[in-house]
Amino acid sequence: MKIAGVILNTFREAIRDKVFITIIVIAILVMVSGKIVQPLAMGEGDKVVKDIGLNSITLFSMLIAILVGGRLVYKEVEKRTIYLVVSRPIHRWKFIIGKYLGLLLVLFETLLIMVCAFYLILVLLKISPNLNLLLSVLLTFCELWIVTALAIFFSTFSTPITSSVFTFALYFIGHLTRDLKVLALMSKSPQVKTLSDILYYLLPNLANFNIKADVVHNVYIEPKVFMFTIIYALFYSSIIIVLSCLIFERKDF
Amino acid sequence: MGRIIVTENLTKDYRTGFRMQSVRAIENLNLEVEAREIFGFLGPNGAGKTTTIKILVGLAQPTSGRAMVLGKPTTDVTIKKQIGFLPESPYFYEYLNPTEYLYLCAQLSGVDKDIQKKQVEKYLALVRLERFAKMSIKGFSRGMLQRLGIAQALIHNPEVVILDEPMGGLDPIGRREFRDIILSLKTQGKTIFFSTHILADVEMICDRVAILLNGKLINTGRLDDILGTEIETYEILIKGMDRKMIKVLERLSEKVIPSEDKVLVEVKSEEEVERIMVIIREVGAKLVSLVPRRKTLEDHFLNEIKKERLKEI
Repeated sequence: MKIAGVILNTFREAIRDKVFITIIVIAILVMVSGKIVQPLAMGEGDKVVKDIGLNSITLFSMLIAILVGGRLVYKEVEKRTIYLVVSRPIHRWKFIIGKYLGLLLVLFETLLIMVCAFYLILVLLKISPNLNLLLSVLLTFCELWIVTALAIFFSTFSTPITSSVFTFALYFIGHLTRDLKVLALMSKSPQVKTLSDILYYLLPNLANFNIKADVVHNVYIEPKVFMFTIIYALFYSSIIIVLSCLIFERKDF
Repeated sequence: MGRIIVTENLTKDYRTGFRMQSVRAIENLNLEVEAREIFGFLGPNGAGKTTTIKILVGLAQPTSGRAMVLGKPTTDVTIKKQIGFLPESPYFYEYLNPTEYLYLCAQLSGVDKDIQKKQVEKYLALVRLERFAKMSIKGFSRGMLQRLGIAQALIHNPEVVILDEPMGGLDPIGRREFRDIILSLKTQGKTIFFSTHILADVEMICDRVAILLNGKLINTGRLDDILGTEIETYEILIKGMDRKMIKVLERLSEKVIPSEDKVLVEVKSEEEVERIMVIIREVGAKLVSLVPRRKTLEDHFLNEIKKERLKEI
């Protein structure tokens, strides 16, 4: 299958990149640093270690998604390696989807490595790991579907720096969209209400993927909310990837 | 089989700059390439050769007009299965080795999984890269990259092979190898379309040529028709002529180029050749070679370019 070729090639490219290995090593080192903080946390040491671990996993996987995703398509166009792909009997949309799935595979592997390291650290620190930690990581992965899709979207028409900046900006704004909803509810102006509502639904709603605090404090997570969040990630990332395919389809090289 | 590549009033405009100004790269290009021929596509830098090739292989879309390969529009993805493409100065995934790269190309081109291994081995051997099969492409020389390029263009056994400046940057041995590969492709029944600046290569192997200038086709046809079969000059290489006789030759010839122990004489007619031969016999010099030359493609090419540029003025 041709998409499989693109997926495997994207995967190979990323894991043979030294930057990828470097980021994973740094992430694990940051997790290990939780051991230093643990005794200083006044009885909350376990929660702090879990918090640092989960946030490292999120931060560094987002970093990979934004930095690698932001140059994924652009690099192929600039280096002209795209010539020998697009001139073959493969639809351009399959190329974009292959690139997207390839990077998701890389991110999945990254999360797997970091989660294994995290659990090992918890065991070594005699902290009992619970299943909810995995639920948090799963939602992080779902959030990555959206962030990676955005990075690839920008990569189809702008430079790596611009793509990374825009993706990061949307990631940041995505965690503040709840405030837009509050603004819409509180505002007396119908125009502000409408605009806030439009922006709320248009921008990625990433705050829903952040259940780290709930997990660390053993708060119950509603299965319905959990499932809805996953479906939202699937739906939103699909729309962004379709837009990416449409832009890429019309591109001249 | 008929016409393999056809363009009808093909025009391509690019938008560049901040104001998105339109720049016309090719204009109303009408080309036909017949089955099983080697077609040379010539033109100075910026003539529109690469733009035309990009449209043929689906890297760019026409602004107006159409381009067809094997009867199908170039926007049809399925036709690419029958096209092998080598871009100018090809770029590859440097983190792969040639075996991995050719497997990827075979997969993307729809080669059956059962025969991928055989095809990869066959084309690595054809381009003499078997020894480097597991070496990272990053360490490849220019010649090795070109050879890998031709291998990836042929891996799926296409009917049409499109090459953009395939011999640029190659040494004489590399160019000879490439010419031999192109000739062997023709004997296999393939159609080859290639652009180049190296006119000597075109004269050696092409059946027909087209000359492009400023995006417009200015001439096309069989080499014999374009250049004619008439002899333009005769080059006579003589050994053993003294300076006095060289002065005599200068009065009787178009051009005389003395070197260490030889002199090259250029004359225009058979009568003049006869006169020079008589002189050689009388002075006891030695005839090294007599080479009749017809008009070269370079002469024709430069004349055509000059004519077009004068028209513009």
